[in-house]
Amino acid sequence: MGLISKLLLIVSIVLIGHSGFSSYEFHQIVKFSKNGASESSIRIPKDILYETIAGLVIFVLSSFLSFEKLSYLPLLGPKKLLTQGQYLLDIEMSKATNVDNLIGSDPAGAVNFTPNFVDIIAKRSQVKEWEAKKDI
Amino acid sequence: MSVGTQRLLTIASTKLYTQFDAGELHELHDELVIYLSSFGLGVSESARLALMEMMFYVKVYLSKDVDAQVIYNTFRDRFGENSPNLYVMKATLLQINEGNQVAIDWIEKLIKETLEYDTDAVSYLVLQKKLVSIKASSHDKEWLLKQVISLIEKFPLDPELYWFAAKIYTELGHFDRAAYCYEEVVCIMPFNYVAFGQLAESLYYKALKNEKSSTRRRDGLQKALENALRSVELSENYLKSWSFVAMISKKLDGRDKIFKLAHSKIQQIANSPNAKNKATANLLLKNL
Repeated sequence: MGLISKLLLIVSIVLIGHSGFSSYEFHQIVKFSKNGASESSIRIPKDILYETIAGLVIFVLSSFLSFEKLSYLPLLGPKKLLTQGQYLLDIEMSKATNVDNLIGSDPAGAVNFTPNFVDIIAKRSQVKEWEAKKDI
Repeated sequence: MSVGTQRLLTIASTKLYTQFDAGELHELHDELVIYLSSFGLGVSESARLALMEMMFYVKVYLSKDVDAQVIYNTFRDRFGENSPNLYVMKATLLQINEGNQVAIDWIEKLIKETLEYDTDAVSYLVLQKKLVSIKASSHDKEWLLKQVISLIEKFPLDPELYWFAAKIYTELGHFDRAAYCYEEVVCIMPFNYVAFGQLAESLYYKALKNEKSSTRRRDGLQKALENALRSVELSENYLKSWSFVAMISKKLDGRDKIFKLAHSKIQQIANSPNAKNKATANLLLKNL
């Protein structure tokens, strides 16, 4: 959530809260006034109405502004944040897979990397060789 | 969910860690240790278990056998021993602690006494694969192929078996058979664009190396082109398939428009933020 959306959210909460309090006060005055008018025939003053509407509009605006662009970390290499400048994910498959291509992922890797056939002993010796070279 | 968590979960779900080199495995191990000891509590239970499973295999690759045993014990105490993943974990621990033969004997005994008659087809299949992977180092490729084909006869809908068979056929230079295996993979997984790319590659080499007559070679290349195009239809920025589209369309007559399109797409990928794709695309553009 950005600074502007936070500020707008605070303003909207103040406006809606203030309009609610004003409405309460107005109804209290009507209740105890002795001009003979019934409570149901009296309408809320326009300033309170406009304040409520303004508060709601600003609240919706702050919600929209709080959306952040989707970002990802590459699976391999330097951990630099990558983004496509989008707020929502694509639905169409040909475009949705762009994220996988961006971060270097194979979504069918559980099949394509044949993980169940990995030669564990060979892998361990590769790691040991690498560690030995590193120590030298 | 944070981008870091998402990254680790993607590595775990796609099993990418099985392809990591030693340096990358060490890096991943350190990240996982920090993550699981501090932030790991914030993720769902299933995500945490997936990360722990990945941690088990990373520890095994890095010869941290005691830690791997501790993770296995945690899983066993919680879920019991009778599940496909735990069977494979136990076989792995036996293999690294007591040797290949002990692991082979344990798997064969389990299959013979229980799984051959059980309804648990998943455990049977993963343990058979594990058995093949343990025995593979002491046998040649022909033997390995026989084992995989006999497993395919029992499990004709398992894409991993076909993929593995295709890899062996490619290593042996049997591109026609490799292409057949990749065709089976795309029949089982019709949206696997990487498999379409591999299929295009096998057909391309088959056309160039096996076909003597120019008509048959052109037909072979056309088939390879169609599969590469299907791959990029499913994933519009998949570099490998675009490179085959460009290479094949350059070799075929009357495919200038497709070549131009592939060239512009590779150029577009060369400007993408992914460093590896960028370097590969630039290299391709130089050689096209």
